[in-house]
Amino acid sequence: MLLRPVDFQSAYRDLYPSLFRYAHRFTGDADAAEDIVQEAFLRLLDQDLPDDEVRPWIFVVATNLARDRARKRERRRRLLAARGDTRGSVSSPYEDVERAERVAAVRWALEELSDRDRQMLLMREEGFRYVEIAEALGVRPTSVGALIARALKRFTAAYTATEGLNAPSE
Amino acid sequence: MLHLSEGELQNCLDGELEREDAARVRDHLARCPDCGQRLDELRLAAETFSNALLALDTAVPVAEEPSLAFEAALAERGRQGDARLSHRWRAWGTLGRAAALILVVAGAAAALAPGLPLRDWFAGLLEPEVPTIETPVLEPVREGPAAPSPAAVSVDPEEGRIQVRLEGFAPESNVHVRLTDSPDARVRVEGQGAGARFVVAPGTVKVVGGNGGEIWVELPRAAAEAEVEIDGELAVIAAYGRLQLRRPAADTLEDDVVFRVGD
Repeated sequence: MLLRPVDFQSAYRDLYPSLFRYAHRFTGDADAAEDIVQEAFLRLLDQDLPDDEVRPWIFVVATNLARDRARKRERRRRLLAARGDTRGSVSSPYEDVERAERVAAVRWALEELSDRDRQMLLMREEGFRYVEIAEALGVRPTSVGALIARALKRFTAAYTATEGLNAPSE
Repeated sequence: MLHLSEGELQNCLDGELEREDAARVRDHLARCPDCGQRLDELRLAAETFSNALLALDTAVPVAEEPSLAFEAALAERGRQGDARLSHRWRAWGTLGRAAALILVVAGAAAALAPGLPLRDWFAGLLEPEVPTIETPVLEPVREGPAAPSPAAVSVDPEEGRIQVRLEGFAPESNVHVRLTDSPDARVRVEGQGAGARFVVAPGTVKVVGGNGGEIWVELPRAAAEAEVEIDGELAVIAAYGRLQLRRPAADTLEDDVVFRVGD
């Protein structure tokens, strides 16, 4: 059964905000997140999926697209670094320095996580059940709780470490 | 007293405990201040994470009207010159009607003359159902064949990239990573872990281990980027024909690195 327009429309209406938020948190880039979400919905057109599988499917596709972008960006960054070009590390466009620092700290802490941990925690934030997270990650549902607990600790350790760095000197 | 595991505490926090476990965990928490404190720490970590994410969030762009989005997606698909979708809709147009007419005539002829070879041809023609849509390049990892897992598997790079993920191998298992001149990546499991399960997707191979053993990972030197993850942690990447460690190795030789699971 091909998803008919009505299915696509309801999926789009229901999932767009959540998928955008997820992709934005994953990539840290609103433009990239928008592209990823659009591409993910484009790919949904080709899918024969029962209604209850659309949400996990499209989040996994968005995750893969985000990873793909991250790899390309990393490769470009390395090439630029090898050429001594620093254009890839422009400063944050935010005018509010405090907010920019906080965003940078969160992004840094997120990037300290493995892709799997990041995906797992962000899916949990979007309200996915453990069984869905397990399916998306290819792990046993009974392992998800422990993996989440460890990933949360890793994130907290990395994030609080940056708070120490940002604290004003006495 | 046996304390609750981290997984049980997190399950409890997220409302994921089975009913029979929930009562036991609740009882334990009522009696054990240590586990209560660990639960509070996990709750605090979860709150820290949720609050931190808020700093990243921007206003969600106003989504297009879904019907417009659908039309736009169709238009985009048309621009990409991708026939995967359009053939679904168009195949049953003029050509489809002509084919259907031929099938009806052929079917009638075959039914009337059972001895004719036409009958076999017609039966064969009917075997495939509708044309299938090509699977998108990026999709959730699909399971490998249901047949007994092989002890080794190879996978070609996807756009020059390879990812090897090793999970669930017993502590003390050795993971050998080396570069080869082969165009594909190969993963082989020996010893007690030979019953490991392989899951293959384009550019990715995941191996879920059993009782331990020796795992050999060969990465193509020519790959633009290749990486090996062990239990979710990046262990080594290969780029520009060199291995670059991302976690301590148990042994390092030229183009050959050994990691010990659990180290």
